[in-house]
Amino acid sequence: MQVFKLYFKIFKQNLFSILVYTGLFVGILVMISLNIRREEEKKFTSKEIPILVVNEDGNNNLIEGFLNYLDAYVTYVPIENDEEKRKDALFYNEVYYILTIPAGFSEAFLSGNEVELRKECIPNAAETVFVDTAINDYFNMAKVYRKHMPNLSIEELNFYIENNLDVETSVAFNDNGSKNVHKGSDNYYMTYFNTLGYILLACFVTGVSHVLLAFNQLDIRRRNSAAPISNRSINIQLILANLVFVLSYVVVFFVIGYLFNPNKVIGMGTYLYWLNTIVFALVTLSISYIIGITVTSKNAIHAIATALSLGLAFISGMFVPQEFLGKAVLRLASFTPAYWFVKANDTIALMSNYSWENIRQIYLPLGIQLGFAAAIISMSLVISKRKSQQAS
Amino acid sequence: MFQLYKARLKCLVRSKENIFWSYLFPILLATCFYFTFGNLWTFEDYESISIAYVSEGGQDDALKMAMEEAHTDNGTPLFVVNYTSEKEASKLLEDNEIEAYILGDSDPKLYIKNNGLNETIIKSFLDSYRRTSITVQTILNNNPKALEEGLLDDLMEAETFVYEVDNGKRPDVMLIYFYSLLAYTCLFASGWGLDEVINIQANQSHRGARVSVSPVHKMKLFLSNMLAAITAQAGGITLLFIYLYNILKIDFGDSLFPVIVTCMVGSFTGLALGAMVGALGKGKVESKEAIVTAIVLGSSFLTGMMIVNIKYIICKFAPFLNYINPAALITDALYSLYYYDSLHLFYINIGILSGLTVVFGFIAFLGIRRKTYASI
Repeated sequence: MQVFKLYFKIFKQNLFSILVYTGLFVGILVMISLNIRREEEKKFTSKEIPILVVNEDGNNNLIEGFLNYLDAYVTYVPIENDEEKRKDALFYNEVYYILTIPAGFSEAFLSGNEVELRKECIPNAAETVFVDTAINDYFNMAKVYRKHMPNLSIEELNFYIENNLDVETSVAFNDNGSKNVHKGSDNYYMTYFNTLGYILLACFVTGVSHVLLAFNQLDIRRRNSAAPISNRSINIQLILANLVFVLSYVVVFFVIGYLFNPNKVIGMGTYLYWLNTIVFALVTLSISYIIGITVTSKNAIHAIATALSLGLAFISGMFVPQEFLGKAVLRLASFTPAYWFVKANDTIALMSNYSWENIRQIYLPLGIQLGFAAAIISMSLVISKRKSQQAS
Repeated sequence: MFQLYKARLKCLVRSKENIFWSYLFPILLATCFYFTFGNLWTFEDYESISIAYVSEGGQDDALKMAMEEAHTDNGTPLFVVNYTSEKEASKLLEDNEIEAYILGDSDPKLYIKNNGLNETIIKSFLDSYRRTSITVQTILNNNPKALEEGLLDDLMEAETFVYEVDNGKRPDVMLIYFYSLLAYTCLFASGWGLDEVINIQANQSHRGARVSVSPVHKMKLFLSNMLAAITAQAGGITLLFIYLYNILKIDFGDSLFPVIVTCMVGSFTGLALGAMVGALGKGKVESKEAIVTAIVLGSSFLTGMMIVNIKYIICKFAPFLNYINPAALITDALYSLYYYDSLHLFYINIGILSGLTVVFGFIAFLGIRRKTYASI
C-alpha cells in the first residue's frame, strides 16, 4: 500500500489548501442550508409581499377600502417618492411591486369608464402574480357588484367584497401514509441534497485533482513506471485513497445537513438520501479522477471544475427544480449522471412511505449513476495505461 | 520591453490547455445558463395537472364543469380530472398518479402531498371559483333579476386592471446570472496575476530564481508580464462577450462602451487580486492558489452566481459586503447600466472597483519590490 500511504503524505503537505477549499465549500453549503430553511419557513407562514403604493388620486372611500383589502396580502413599504429611490427599491428587492394609482382613477372607475393601474415589479416572481390577482379580483368584483346592484354605497361594496374574498380553500396534506412522520423536513432535505450535488462536484474535482497533479509530473510518472508495482495496482490504490478522502467529506456534509435540518429526524428517507449521495460521490470521484490524470495545468483544472460543477448543476436541476426546466434541457441533462442524482432525490422526497415498491423506484437512477461511475473509471484506467506507455 | 512582452505572451499562449479551458469554460457555462433560464417561468409547455375529484354531486355540479372547462391561453386544459371515491383518490395521490384531490362540497377541500407550483395553481383556481359563487349568491339575494341581466357573462369577463409600466427595462433575474458569470470570468484573471508574481519571485519558483539573476529590471519585467497576462485575459473576455452579446443576445443596456470599461477594470481587479495574494507571505504556491480560488468563487457565490437569492440575502443583512466584494461590484455595475437611466450607480461601483484594484496593486507592489535573497 505504498501508493495509498503516499497519497496521504501528499495530502498532508497540501493540507492548508485542502482546508481552504473545505472552508469555502462548507461556508457555501451552510449559507445554502440557511437559505433553504428561510425559503421553507416562508412557504408555511403566510407571505406578505412588500409593495409600494403611489397614490396620485388622493384619498377617497374606494381607494381606502381597496388598500384596506390589499393589506391582507401585502405589506406597505414607505419609500420616498423619487424615481431613483423606487428603482433602487425594486433593484434590491426591498419591494417586489410598485403600484401607481393614477389621478382620476376612482372617478373613472365609478362612472364605469376604462381604467388602468400601473405597476412595476420584479419579474418572474410568483409573488407578483398573487398581487396582480388580488388587485384584479377586487376591481372585477367591484365592477360586477356595481353593475348589478347599482344602489350600493362604497362602504357596502367594500363590506361585500371583503366578505367575499375572505373565503379561502382549506388545504390539507394527505396523511393517509401514517408512516411518514417527517414530511416537513423532506422539502428541506430534497433541496439540501440537490444542491449538495453541486458542492460534491466542485469540491472533489478541485480537491482530488489537486493531489493527483503531484503524481502526474513526467518525472514522477517515469519513476513510478519503473517501480516493481503494476500500473493497475497504482491506480487501484489511488482510487481507494481518493475514496477515503471523498467519503470522509461526504460524512461531514451529512452532519451539516443534519444540523441545519429544522426537524432533526433521521429516518428511512434520510438513509435513502445518504445512499444516493454516496453513489453520486462515487460518480464525482470517477470524474475527478479522470480529470486529475489528464489535465496538467492548474488554471485549467479550476476552469474545468467551475464549468463542470455549475454547468451540470444548472441543467440537471440542482439549483432550479427539475419541474421548472424545459423538456429539451432535461433530455440533454439525462445524458449526465447529475440528472439521475437529482431525479433520485426528487423521487425520495415524493415517497409517502418506504414500502418496497416505492423504494424500488430509485433503483434505476442509482443504477445509471453507478454505470456512469464504472464507465468513467474504466476510461481513466485505459488513459492511464496509455500514458504510461508514452514517452512524454 | 516589447520583446519581454512578446516573449511572455508567446509563453502564455503556448500553454494550450490553460488557454483552451480559460476561454471555453465561461462559454460552456453561459450556454448552460441560457438553456436553463430560457425556458424558466414560461408556460409554453404547460402540462395539464392530473387531479381527482370526489363528489356526490351529479351532472350539474358547477365546480366539476368549471374544472373541465378551464384551460390556458393556448387551449391546453388546466386539469385532467379523475372522478373517484375518496379512498381511491388518496391512494392515487400516494402513488403520485395525481397531484392533488378535491373533496367537493359546498366547501371544497384540497388535499395535497407537497407544496409546489401545481398545487398553487389548483388552490388559486378553487379560491377564485368559490369567490365567484359567493358573489353570485350575494347579488342574486339582492337583485334576483341579475341572471337575466347577464351576471354570469359579466363574471366570466374578468378584466385586467393592472398594467406593467413599459419603460423597456424591467429588472431581470436571469441577467444577474449572466452578469455574475462575466464578473467571475473577469476575476478569473487572478490566476494569471498569481502566476506572474510567482514567476518573478526567486523563492517561489525556479523561473523566478532564474530571472532574478538576469540583467533586467524586475519591475520592467513584471509589468511586461502583467501586460501579457491582461492581453491573454482580454482575449477570453472578448470571446465570452461576443458570445453573450451576439449569439445569446443578452441585454447589456443601451451603450456598450461602459460595459467594456467594466470588463476591463474587472479584469485588472482580478489580476491585481492574484498578484497581491502571490506577493504576500512566504506560503506555498498551492496554498496561494487555494486562497485565490476561494476568494473568487466565494465572492461570486455571494453575488448570486449559483443561487440568486443569496444576493438578496446579502443586500438585506450585510449590504456593506456588496461594496467590498469585487464580483458584486462588477455585477452591479453591469446591472445598473442595463437598468438605470442615469450612470450614477455605475460610477459608484466602478469607482470602488478601481479603488480596490489600486489598493490590491499597491500591496502587490510593496510585496515584490526590492526583494533580495541571501539564500533560498
